[in-house]
Amino acid sequence: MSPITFTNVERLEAAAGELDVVTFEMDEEAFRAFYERTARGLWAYLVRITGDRQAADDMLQECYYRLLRAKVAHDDERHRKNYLFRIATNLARDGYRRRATAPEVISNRDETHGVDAVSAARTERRTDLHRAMGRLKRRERELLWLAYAQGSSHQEIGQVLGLKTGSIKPLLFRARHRLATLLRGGAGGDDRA
Amino acid sequence: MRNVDCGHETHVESCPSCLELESIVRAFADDQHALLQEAQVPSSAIVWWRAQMRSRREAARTVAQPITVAQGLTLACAVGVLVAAIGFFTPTFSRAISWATGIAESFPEFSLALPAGLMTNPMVLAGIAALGLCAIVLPLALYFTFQEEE
Repeated sequence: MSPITFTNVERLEAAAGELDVVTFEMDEEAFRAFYERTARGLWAYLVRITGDRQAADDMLQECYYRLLRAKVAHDDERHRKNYLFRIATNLARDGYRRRATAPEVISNRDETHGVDAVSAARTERRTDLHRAMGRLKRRERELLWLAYAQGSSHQEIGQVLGLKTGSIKPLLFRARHRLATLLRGGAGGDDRA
Repeated sequence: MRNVDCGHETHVESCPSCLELESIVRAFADDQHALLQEAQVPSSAIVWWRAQMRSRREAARTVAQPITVAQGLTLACAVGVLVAAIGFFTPTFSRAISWATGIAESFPEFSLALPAGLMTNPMVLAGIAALGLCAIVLPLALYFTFQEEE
């Protein structure tokens, strides 16, 4: 009895039929809820560590795709979020190796005529922060954003950046001190990574 | 504030280190708040749909890979056999084989002890030509196959 063989077309059609059920790490409902809770924060993180909004837009989709495809069991949402930010950190680092980064150009869209003193002070503080962040190393930007914008614990920061928890505190202290020096207008150096 | 070590407002105002920390935390909080307002991310439905489509495309490409390699091999062998067949019936090709055989016989230390008439056997010629073309065509076929994935 001759063996049954498939033609190329039959083989591809069979594969397409199997692909109607794409297996991801999460189902659609759970993913969409998780996305709604984390997407903006992730985008903000990518913008700050890359200094490039367009790159952040491109990386955002890629981060979630890699999360869906990863066969990783997560203890809870916090663990899943840390894993997502870790993906984002690695993606941003890979992007750094391919092209030179530059500090984000601050647009004038935040400055409006007749803005009150509080908003003006806030905008100025934000501008100063952008300039100072642009002069920091990549790891320093990551540490500072995760700690002071995201409010992550040292353990969570270590999980995201792939560092030991015990090393976060001194690294963060040095990064914070350097940022403060730059904000005061001191000689912080230009050794950005 | 979560990362401030000292808990009293009056201490913060009189402590340079805590004051520095407080100003940095406030700057980051303002920046993050502004960025969250400015963020224009795609909808979750679009992101989910794109992930599904991409996953299907990648899976289909993986399935098609062995087919492409087999096709490349088949093509290389077929071309080799065709060239050998054409060459066998071309007198020039036969003379070239004879010439090459004569050159090889001039260097007995490098010549192989082949049976007489082996190099004029059409099956042998077809096999040698097919192997030679496989060695050239197959790496190219594999290169162009996997280049699409980059």
